[in-house]
Amino acid sequence: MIMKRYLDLIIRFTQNNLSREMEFRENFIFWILVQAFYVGLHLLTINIYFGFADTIAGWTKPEVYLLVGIFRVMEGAFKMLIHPNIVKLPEFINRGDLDFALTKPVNTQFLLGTRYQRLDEAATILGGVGVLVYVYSQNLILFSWASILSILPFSLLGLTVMYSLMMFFVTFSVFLTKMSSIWVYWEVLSKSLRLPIDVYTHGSKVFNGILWPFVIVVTLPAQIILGKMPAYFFFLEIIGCAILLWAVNKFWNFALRHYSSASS
Amino acid sequence: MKKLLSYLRIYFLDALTYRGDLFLFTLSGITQPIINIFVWLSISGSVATPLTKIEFIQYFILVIIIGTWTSAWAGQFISSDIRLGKISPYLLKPASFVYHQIANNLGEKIIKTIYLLPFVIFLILSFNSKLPLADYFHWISFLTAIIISTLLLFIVDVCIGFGAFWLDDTTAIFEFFGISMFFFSGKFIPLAIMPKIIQQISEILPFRYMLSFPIEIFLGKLSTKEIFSGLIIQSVWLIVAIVIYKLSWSNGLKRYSASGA
Repeated sequence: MIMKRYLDLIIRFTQNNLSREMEFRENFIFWILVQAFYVGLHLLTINIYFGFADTIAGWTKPEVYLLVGIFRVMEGAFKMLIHPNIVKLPEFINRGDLDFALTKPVNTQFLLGTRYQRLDEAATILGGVGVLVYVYSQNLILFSWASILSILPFSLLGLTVMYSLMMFFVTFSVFLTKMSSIWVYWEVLSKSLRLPIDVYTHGSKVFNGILWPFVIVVTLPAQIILGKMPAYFFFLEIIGCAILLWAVNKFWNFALRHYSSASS
Repeated sequence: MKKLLSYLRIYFLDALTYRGDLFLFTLSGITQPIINIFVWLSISGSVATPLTKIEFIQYFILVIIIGTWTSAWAGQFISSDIRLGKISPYLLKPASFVYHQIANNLGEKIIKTIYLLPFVIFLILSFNSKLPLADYFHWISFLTAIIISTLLLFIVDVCIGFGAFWLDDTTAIFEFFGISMFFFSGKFIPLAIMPKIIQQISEILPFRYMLSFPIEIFLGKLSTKEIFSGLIIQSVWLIVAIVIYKLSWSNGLKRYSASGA
């Protein structure tokens, strides 16, 4: 019964966002071109790096391509479903509009996290899929069907981690009230995640352990798909996601108790 | 000059209230250079690269310092102000419109410079406190190059913003500008690493003279002759930019319809 109500809400939200998106159909075509260009630029930089070395921090070029493909899919999903909601949160909190969400008969985090969608970001996902298809078609890396299919659950998990990391930063706006530069956190996060974390840590197990929330977004999934990490790490990935989600939820609820509602 | 100084005071105080945001902007500006340092460190460990490990670090620290100092972002605001008819109040004020932009830009830079101090200290230490700038000639040409870079980037940015007099949406021009900077300014990849053809093109185009050129002088990569010819090309581009600025402002104002008023 409750599930049906939530499902209903999601359908309504999507209908609303879709009809808004339909007003800008040409924009979508343009966006696909822009994304194709950016993916090209991204791969070009990687090519320049690999013009000087065969492996970087233990990763070969096709392996980094695969990571880029997975990252683009996750980034697209994040910017389509979560980013548009998260960037509005600080303003909601600052202006006291959070009151309206808190008094609605649904879970607040659900409402705040699903209301808006940027469906044109499907172009970013397509760009990532393009890279994956390229890597697959070039036979640069041997794939099994299982590893291809596993990209989907990994993407969902990666999305959860991105959500948790961003929510962690955004929650601070309850205390700081004025925080208009949320995009900066996303900038820092997305730029540093689009390369293997090993590049920063030189593959050191200790540092990778300390940075685990960042490792499990894209790097670890890519490693498992490539067979560089044993398959049972998949369960560690799930546990890691669960811990992050739980911790951020706790932090959010703690912060809400300090929310002072600017309007009333 | 007096007007400019008093505007500078106002905009400095204005920027002071946004110091937290400015810190975050600086943070976003240093992300990419720092990532680049890590990438090149892990590459140059194993193979021969045109720059040594320490040179890569110094190069990208300089990208952070000089990049922040020469940065300009007035254009984005100018174009939206033109579109929404918001530049009208500035036209009635006793100082030229561009004075406000200059004062705003400098006001921010004063604050941002404070955030840059740790990088400056790190840079000086990395040279064992003995900077590669050999003599007065190099110091003077380095400082001249920075000043011209700052002016050039600022005026080009403002000119792109003026594009809004003719176009509804200037995003595409800014994107195009950003991509050109990517290839030809040395912001992401040092020009010394780039293929020969890109290096040759970049010597003629204005983008190298907005960032890479002063860095190259500082790191002692250029001969006296190259410094001279570089300064001449840089000055020519500055004059071209000023002419375009004058023309687009006077012609643009004739088209300006002050929408919303």
